[in-house]
Amino acid sequence: MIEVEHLSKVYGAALAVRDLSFRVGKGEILGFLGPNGAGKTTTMRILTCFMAPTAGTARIAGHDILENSLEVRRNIGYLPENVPLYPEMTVRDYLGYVAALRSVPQNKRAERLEAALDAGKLEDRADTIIRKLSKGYRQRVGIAQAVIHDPPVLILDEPSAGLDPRQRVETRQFIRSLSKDHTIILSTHILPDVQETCSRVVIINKGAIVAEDTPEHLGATRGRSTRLTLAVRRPAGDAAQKLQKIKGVTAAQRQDGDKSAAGGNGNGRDANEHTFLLNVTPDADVREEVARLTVNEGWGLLELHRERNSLEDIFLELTTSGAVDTEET
Amino acid sequence: MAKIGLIAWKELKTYFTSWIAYVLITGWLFIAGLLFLLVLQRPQEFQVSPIYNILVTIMLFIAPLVTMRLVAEERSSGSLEMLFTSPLTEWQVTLGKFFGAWAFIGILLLVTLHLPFFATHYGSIDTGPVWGSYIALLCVGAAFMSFGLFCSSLTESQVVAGFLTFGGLMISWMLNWPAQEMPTSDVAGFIGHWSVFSHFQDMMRGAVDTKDLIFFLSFTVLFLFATVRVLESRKWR
Repeated sequence: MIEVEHLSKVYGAALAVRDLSFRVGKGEILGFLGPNGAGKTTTMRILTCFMAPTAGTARIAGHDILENSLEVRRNIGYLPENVPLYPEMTVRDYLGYVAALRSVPQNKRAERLEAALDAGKLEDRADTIIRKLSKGYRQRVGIAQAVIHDPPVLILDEPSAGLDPRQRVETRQFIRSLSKDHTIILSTHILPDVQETCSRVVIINKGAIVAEDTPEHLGATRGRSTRLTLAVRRPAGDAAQKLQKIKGVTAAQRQDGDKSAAGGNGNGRDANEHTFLLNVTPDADVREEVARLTVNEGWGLLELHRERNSLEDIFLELTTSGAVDTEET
Repeated sequence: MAKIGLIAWKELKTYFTSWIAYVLITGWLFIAGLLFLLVLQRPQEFQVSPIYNILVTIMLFIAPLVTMRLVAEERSSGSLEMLFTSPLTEWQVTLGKFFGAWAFIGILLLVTLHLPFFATHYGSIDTGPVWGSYIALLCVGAAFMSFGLFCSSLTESQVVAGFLTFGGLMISWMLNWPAQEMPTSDVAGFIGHWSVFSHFQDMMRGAVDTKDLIFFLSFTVLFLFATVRVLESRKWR
């Protein structure tokens, strides 16, 4: 449904987007992540035909963004980061205006208007002037305008910004419900939203893709280290040093005195329980070795638990470590 | 065409959602009425052209207020992104905004129609100059609106857009001054020819010349075209 091929964008001497290529299939929700200034908004503006790429192209619903821009725009619903609103209009007038601009047939406008009001949970604010709405409600009007013409492709830039936790959950559910009939690119800094909503993630940094995978697979395979938590009854004084000697363990740290680090507020831990936090390389599975050492040394094994890197860990690592050659032209 | 009308109607309605339309219409009516009274009290034969001549100058001050927000506001609020990610061409947006602003000028002219009506009802006047003056004001309005729209497309700031429009129109007015002071000078005449203010005098006397109409049409289309090019340039910058 969305095919991006070798997309690049240069602003003066700065390369904002560098040779981006990815595809999004029908019914898929793609999380499009990256730090501020990574090129996300530029990419989305190119895909929505607001600006042209310096090189490369993309096809949306089979239409080329350069050759058939109007047809592409008919098939896209876009929520920009700054919600585009006319504050002097009422919500109903604004959505009606957008519906007409997006070529919704006259006989279907009322029906689509009601559907968009429902999508944004705006029924009780339909006749309120937009200037008088809170930030959260304005965001919801932005979501409603993106879906008013029922486009097959949705590009949403920070749809949850400014929403309270309940509204965020509702927005997530709404986006998930749309995935049955829509293809969605979702850009957000709220990573739990991505984990719960997206079937695949593209992470970009300094204009280039640094990771592309499912959130689960990223967690399992990406990142420099994964963590093991070891809880024992009677550790020897040199236990940490012995643990660190196991091949694949990069660091072993005793966590006594910080029970929250050992596992959730210290609930259920007695005074004789001691925890170690082990950093291990991602390709090494050292659990067996750790268990053997613990049993052989008679430390009294209570718990051995492997923690995957969270999407947040992976995001931070990939976007702060210069994972790609980022020299700008 | 429907989308041009839709944008124009939205723009026209927007003027009336703030104080600006009401203040402008009130001020315009007050000045027009005052001028009418002053001309009426003159001992010479009653003529409408002095009234409309001054109204053109008033329009020079009104044009920046009417046009400054047209694109600049959309640019600063981000709604330009909504417009150009909708299936709309730059020409549709430009013409929609132009016709919306021009329609407001049309309303300003409509509310002054009672003045010639009174004049013809209570006396007898030559209607040629009256119709000529309204055609002239519509032409000047179109030229001013297209120039103001162009200035608004250049910047995010409404204030900057307003000053650019006012400055540009002032220069256009000043181009006509040498020709008025030195009517026999060819150079002054040549410079004056490029001024908007040198092309409506004959119309206000009732003589609508095709070359003047073509001048206003060319001027208007030129700045509409320039606006379209500025809007298109966002893609490549």
